[in-house]
Amino acid sequence: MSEGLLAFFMKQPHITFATGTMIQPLGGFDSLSGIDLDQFNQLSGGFRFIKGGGFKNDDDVIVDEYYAKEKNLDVGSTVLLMNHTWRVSGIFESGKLARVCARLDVLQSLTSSPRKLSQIYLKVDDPPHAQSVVNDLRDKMPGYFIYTMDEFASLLTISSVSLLRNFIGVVIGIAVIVGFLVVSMAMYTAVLERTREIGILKALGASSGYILNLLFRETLLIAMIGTFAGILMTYGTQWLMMHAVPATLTQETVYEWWPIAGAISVSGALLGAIFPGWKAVKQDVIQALAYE
Amino acid sequence: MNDSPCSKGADVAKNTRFSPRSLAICALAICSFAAATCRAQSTAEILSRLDRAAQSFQGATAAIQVTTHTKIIDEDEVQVGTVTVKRYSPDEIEFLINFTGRDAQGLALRGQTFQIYYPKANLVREYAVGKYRDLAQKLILLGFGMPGHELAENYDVINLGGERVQSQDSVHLQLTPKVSDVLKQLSRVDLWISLKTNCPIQQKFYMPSGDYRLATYSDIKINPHLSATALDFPKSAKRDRMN
Repeated sequence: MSEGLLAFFMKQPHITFATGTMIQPLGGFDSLSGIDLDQFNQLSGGFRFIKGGGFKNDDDVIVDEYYAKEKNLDVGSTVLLMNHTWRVSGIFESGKLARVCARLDVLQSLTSSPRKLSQIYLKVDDPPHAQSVVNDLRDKMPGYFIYTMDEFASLLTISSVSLLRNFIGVVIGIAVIVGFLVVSMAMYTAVLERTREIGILKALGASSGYILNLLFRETLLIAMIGTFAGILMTYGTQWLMMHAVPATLTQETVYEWWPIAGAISVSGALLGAIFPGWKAVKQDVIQALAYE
Repeated sequence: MNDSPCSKGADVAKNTRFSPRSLAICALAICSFAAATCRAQSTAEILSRLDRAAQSFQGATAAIQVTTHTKIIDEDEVQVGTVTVKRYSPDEIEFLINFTGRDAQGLALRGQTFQIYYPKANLVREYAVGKYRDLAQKLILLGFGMPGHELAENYDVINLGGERVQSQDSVHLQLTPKVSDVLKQLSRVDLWISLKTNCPIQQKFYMPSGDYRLATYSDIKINPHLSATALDFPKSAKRDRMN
């Protein structure tokens, strides 16, 4: 988009401010954003710097805390992006829709795209006017992608990327089925191997109900311990990701999945245990005792 | 273009002695007839002419000027450069566009890879375009070595008649994409095919917003000798694979 659009937007009703950014992909999940720092501060209330500050030289970049951690960067460090050496002038608190920012005019020059923008942010006089401003601009500029910030933020969620959403759905589905089968098979094998012990219990006069009750309680306990251990391990992976690739991968704990994971574990374990247990108690004592 | 109906009409008018009024009427009548003949013949004829021309097309070089018009602010941005097209097989065409000046940049399509060269960063970014390769090839190279039947398969073609563009006789075709996904991004394309070279001398891509991109080609050379490195970016440039 042309920078000339900024002046046009500033003339529109309810719009109090407009500024543009240029986004350059860096491969993977990373990108380099070109911003006019003063304008961006005016729009968003400004960056909160943890270390250092804004751009001092043309080759300065500011990075967010996670990117700095992942790439081992500090104020004064140099980083090679787009085959160009940049100096880190500041580290800011994340949450600005960018992990690495450079001067807009420098990035435009480096990419030979003078007066070109990738995104334009608009500020309206009153938040309730945002939707009407967007609707008005959509009428005036068909074919342009114009969103309120809420709509824009929702586009950045996994569910807005259909291919990724389907992929994650398939992965969850496979994980549920495999998890269920593994738990089930593990318990099946464990109880099957105890056929002889079940035979001994029966020989000592234990009833079928007593044996099944014993198996049921033991299985339930193991499944619950397993579920608890699994949940604890997710915190381990979260810690690992936060320390190894904090800017690239984030893990969110979805608490709603805890009871689902527990149910999968318990039902899988019970199904796996009760069936061979039932077979064992129905078996003749002599045969059960002779089971190898 | 001495053999085109339009220029024939002009020649007849020039070489015949009449009174000024009858000369004007006669010239008008002849030109109208010539234009009508152009229009009547062209859609089928131009497409079959493009079919024939595509068979012998091996490559081309040209100077290019691209004007990007933003309708809502009535702003034009102009880029100039050169374009080199090389055909390796009927389905494999590669191209290189080198823009010069303050927005110097190179764009190239090689096999399944689309490359952008940033001279100031001495960097080549490579994007695997996969299934979009054909789309990129057909849009950017629209008319270069493209058979007429392929044009008709992808677009609804309307012949707007003969026009003289850049001192060349051409036929003006209006193309509307048949694929709805393409239509969302591209309302229509106007294409001026030179009657001399059977290659485009002008392409105008209209966006749904009313913005357009006008590419004008000049100094077109068909099937020139192209060295093996004609489509290469500098070897010293760093390569970044983006996907």
